[in-house]
Amino acid sequence: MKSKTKVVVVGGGVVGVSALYHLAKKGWSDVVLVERKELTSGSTWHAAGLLPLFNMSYSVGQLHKYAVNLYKTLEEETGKNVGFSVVSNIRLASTKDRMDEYHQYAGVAKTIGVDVKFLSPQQVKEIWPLCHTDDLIGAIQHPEDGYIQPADLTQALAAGARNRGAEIYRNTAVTAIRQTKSGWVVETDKGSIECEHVISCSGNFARQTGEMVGLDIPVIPVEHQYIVTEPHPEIQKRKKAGLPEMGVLRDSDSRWYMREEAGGLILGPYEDGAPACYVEGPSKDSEYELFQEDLDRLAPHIEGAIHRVPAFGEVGVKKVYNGAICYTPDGNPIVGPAWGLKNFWINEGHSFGITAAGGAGWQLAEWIVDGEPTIDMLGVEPRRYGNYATKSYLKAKNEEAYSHVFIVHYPDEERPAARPLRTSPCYERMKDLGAVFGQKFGWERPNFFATDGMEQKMIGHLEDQNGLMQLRKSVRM
Amino acid sequence: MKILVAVKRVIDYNVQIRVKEDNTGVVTDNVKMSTNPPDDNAIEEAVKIKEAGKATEVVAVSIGEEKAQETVRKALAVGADRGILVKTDGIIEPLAVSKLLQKIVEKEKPDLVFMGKQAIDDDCNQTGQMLSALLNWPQATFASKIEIKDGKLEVTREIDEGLETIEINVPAIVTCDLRLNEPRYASLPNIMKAKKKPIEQLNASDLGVDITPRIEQVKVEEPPKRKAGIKVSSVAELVQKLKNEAKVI
Repeated sequence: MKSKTKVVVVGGGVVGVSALYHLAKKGWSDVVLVERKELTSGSTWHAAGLLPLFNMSYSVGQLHKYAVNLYKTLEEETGKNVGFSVVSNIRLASTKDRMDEYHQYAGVAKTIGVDVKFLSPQQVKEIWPLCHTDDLIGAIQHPEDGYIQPADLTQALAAGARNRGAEIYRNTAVTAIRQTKSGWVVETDKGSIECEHVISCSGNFARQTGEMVGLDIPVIPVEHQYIVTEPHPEIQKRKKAGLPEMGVLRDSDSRWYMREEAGGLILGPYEDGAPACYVEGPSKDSEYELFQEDLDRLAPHIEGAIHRVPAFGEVGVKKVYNGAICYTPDGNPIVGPAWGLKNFWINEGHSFGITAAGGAGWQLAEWIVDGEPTIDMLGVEPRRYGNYATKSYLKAKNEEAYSHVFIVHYPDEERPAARPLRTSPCYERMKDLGAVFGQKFGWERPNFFATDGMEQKMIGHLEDQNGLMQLRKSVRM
Repeated sequence: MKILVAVKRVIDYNVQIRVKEDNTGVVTDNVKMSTNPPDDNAIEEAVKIKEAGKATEVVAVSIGEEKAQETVRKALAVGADRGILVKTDGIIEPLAVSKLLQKIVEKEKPDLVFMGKQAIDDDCNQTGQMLSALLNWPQATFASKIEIKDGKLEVTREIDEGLETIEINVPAIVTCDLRLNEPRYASLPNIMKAKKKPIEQLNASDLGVDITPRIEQVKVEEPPKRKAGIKVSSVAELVQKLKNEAKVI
């Protein structure tokens, strides 16, 4: 093991390995990664491997777009198959609000150069014959995305990094991180490593890694379950006939994703009531860990899935995965320099880690090597949270972020959990005057005043005259 | 014919077992649990016999904490008709389990009692045999094939020497091997329907059985960790190490 290097990456999930890969690709070959157990053994290994390009944030959207393009080139570069199935991804809409959301998103997609198509229910049926489409309005399709094998992806990135001189130390646990005059010392149970930069990519251990350097990193994971069925005769028949995979299907209004898996189906719902987990951090021996499944919590979504794709209910459940996914209060990752600590970098809180890993590693390498990122990273900025993001706040907000994955994201969305948190002395008076509040950095701040008989709450809906009126008022404020 | 099937809730076979820091047992908090795998074979066999029209009712019974109800539900989802949960706290040893099952058998009067050959957590392989002795019923252990013939059972057993086929009278106890069948997976509609099937809840104390452990557990320790291997540079070095260090040749 090296005792001196330029960068130490802490954590060997797909996020950390991608950061290492991109540093090496940028020409910094004297870089190392330390992983307490095996690569992927935290959350990467149990991820469903979806690569959704859909994201309302310009920053995250660009990270995802870069990753999807990169992953297509990895096999040629490293000789390792990453199991990327470019099967496209269809998001269904059964309400007008949902379709409006897709149209709004299409603007984001166009701006950052992501290809999308709108489909009629008839076109959905042609691609997904097992899907019940009578009650749909339409759908949006990403022809370029699909799913990948997360462990194979991680190994390919690791090979790409090693080929360029980077080193990976597995079964090496970080015990302390100290700042020195010139940089950092990372202490491990196998010895210490002096370095210029540290990148924290420790996933479920984000808070524990942060504590080592006095940072309160606003990440707490939430439990996510997905169900894998045994093969279905219809899907096997399609395979035998040489027909293409039907692709990833998302029923946003019933809040789940579905895709084919070994002749059967995978269903992953984003339900209400999924609990935060590892609140005090995982056990130090934690490795390839899953939690007890709770199908009761998923019942409405399972019913929705059987309505949409009856075949899903016709075969047996082979396995239910319930594992930790990292979350932040707004559901976007935290990627960038740590506040107040020179050359300490945060790459944590990835709830779409497989998709975001490529882009996050890319931008961090740009930032560390060249001194600045090459895209607007404001949406994933570490300083968007402050000391108001306490453990109980995070627990409430991250559970909310999880359950909001599939809600209709209206412009100027304000989420209700853990509020009001900080109020100014005139809060009550403003409330009496009709203030409708939003939250900024933990503070309740009026977005507008409901006057002339307007309802004193955020409506959101753009179709609604009152909603439009609200939006106009809040823009003027 | 009525079949009673005993199912046990154990730590899932995929979970990496961790020993508690104070060496009093293994960590079970927040750990994924599931049905003891050979108990799945026992349920499957009972359901198959019922589907073939040779049994009229399959009753699943579990003994353990409140959450063992999930294990009973799983049996109901794959075809058992109703369930019984005998609630207990803490460690419960095979003898106590057999005595509780004896009471259930006296109450339910089944013709056959199926269960897994052993549980993957304590690996005791005692409950079926003890229950057979308590009831004075014939037993067939490690069953990999069961056939019902004129009110008798022909059972093929997996033994060290190969396969042994025996014939036993009914009522009987059968402990099931993993080779007995391929347990089915429950579909989601069946999992949902299982919630409506009845589960009778009993307390161990109501059955008048003393379940106090009789074995004192001194310490639970992890197996010794394997040391990392080394690379040898030549065949000669390998031979030398095998001869002098490993002393195997």
